[in-house]
Amino acid sequence: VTKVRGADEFTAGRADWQPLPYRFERIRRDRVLLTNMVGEHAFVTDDEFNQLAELRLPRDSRLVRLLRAKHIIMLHGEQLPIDLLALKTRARYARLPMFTGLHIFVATLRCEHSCPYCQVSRQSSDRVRFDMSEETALRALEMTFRSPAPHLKIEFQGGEPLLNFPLVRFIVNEAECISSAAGKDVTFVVATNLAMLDDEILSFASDHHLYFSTSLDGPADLHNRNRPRPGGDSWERAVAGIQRVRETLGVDRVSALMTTTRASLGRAREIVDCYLEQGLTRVFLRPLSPYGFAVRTRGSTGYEAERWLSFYEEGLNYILELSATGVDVTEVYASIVLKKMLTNTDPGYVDLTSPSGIGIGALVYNYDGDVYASDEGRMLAEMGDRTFRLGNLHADTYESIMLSDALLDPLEASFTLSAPMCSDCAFESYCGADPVFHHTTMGDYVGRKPESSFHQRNAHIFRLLLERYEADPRARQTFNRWAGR
Amino acid sequence: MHLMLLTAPTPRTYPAAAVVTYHTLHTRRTHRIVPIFRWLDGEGCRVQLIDRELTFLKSAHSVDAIQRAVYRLSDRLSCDLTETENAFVCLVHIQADDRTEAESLLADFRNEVLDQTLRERIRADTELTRNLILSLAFSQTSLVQPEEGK
Repeated sequence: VTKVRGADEFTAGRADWQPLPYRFERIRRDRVLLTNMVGEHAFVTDDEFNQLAELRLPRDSRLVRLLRAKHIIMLHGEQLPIDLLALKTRARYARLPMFTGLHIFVATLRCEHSCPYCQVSRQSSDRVRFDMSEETALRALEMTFRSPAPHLKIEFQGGEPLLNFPLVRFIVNEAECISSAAGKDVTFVVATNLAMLDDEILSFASDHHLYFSTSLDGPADLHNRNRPRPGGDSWERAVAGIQRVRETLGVDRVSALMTTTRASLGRAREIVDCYLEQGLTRVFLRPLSPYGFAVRTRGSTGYEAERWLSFYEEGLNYILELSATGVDVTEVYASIVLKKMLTNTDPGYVDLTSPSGIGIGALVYNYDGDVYASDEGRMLAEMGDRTFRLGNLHADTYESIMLSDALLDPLEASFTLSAPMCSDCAFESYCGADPVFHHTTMGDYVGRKPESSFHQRNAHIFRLLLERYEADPRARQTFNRWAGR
Repeated sequence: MHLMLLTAPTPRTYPAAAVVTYHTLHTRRTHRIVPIFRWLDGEGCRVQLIDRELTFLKSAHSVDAIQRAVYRLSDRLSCDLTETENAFVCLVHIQADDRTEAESLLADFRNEVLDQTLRERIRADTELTRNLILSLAFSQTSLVQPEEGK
């Protein structure tokens, strides 16, 4: 019993306190958000905030205990909060030395779909012109295995990569040979509409543990409107493909993403229901992309951001309602943000990392050997802007590509800890730099944050999630579960 | 009081194209993007600007805090910043549909300058601790290379 210290030992006692580095944001009247260096947060009232700012919080108050626990203040002479914040900061950036885990191979630009917003696909049977060659694939693999990341993910994109399945098979076989010699883990993901899925592909996927990532935009009418193909049966083929993969390979071997178009807005609940009907428990309510369907017009960006936020809130509220009744369903974007908010693990989601995820998080090898810093950079090039083209596999080395100005300039310029407004934003730890987005919509890597729909969207979501977390015990329980996954 | 309203409101109208640039001290000149609701009015819309002058005493506020405040609100207002011996003088151009909205924006601006001043103080007060934490965080990684000869 003598080893148990009394309660007095755990109060501030007579010692004074001092602030640790923290940032604040006035969320609404009488509600101030405080975040520490690594994003741990606390809400205080205006009066409490004034006392904190003026260093006159009573040292034995409940708030001093809370803020000490959150590493927003510490007692004079304490060392542990500094050590712990250093440890958490290091954990936050731990992925940096082991960069580029994702390598995207554009196996072909050919696609049998003709989605109106897609800038990259070609309705063509010209295999020579639009397919990646084995020679290019081997050079891309050479570059892939130069990455320091110990766990590599090779993702096949298109066009529709299954239209060039012989090359997919070739790359998987070659990568498996190289990986065992290089001592690296490799996983394979095929981003496909599943319309061309057949027994041969399923058998190969089973033998080589391929994962499938497909597109499901929601109910049949919405999906088929977004994704026209001969026969008008894109949804039917996607759903049939999802079921075949789940039954043949296992439920975890296929996931789906949605593209939000104007037609999707107002239909969030139907989209969630559609996913659950197909047994898909992870719904990613993704924002409108500025690379495809004409959101480049500056004036319409904010307008779309507002409408998308309503859509997102409708979907998130519905998912939380379902979760409260025991339904297993996760909104993926919220779960990524919550992991950053509530844990020290950075999920490494490319849009929400700083330094930006371009090049560091992913490299894209186009069918013609061009190397891009991100998939969005490739789409931008298809629109005529080759800013994020880093080089070509047949002409450049790994060193010249990774040290190119086309990569380093946007990485340096967009770093949030030195970007205007981001550097003192209370949400900085949760957010990211997105130089491709800001270059596309505003013409420079940093962008003007007050007018940036990236900023508007993310600041709104961060506020929404934190306020729900604080005010709604059921949502808090769900959010803790999502963050812990 | 550090803030003084020196001039009466002077509502004026400009063609939308006339508000494409603005200047502040030591900041980059960048394109001005008209907020969305202006675009929805269609071509030929006229943006109403209301000019106000605010004075911030140098003894209480830095130019950096004022610039950061202007930047944060740059989707709604812009500013010409000049200095006298004891003060910074801001000619604030507010995009507003009426005087009530303009007053509200001006109040936001004044509060934002105060918040930026506070942020500046927090940064200064915690700078040593922040540097200590960062050096501890990265001292045990391969990200920091020792200087030659040390």
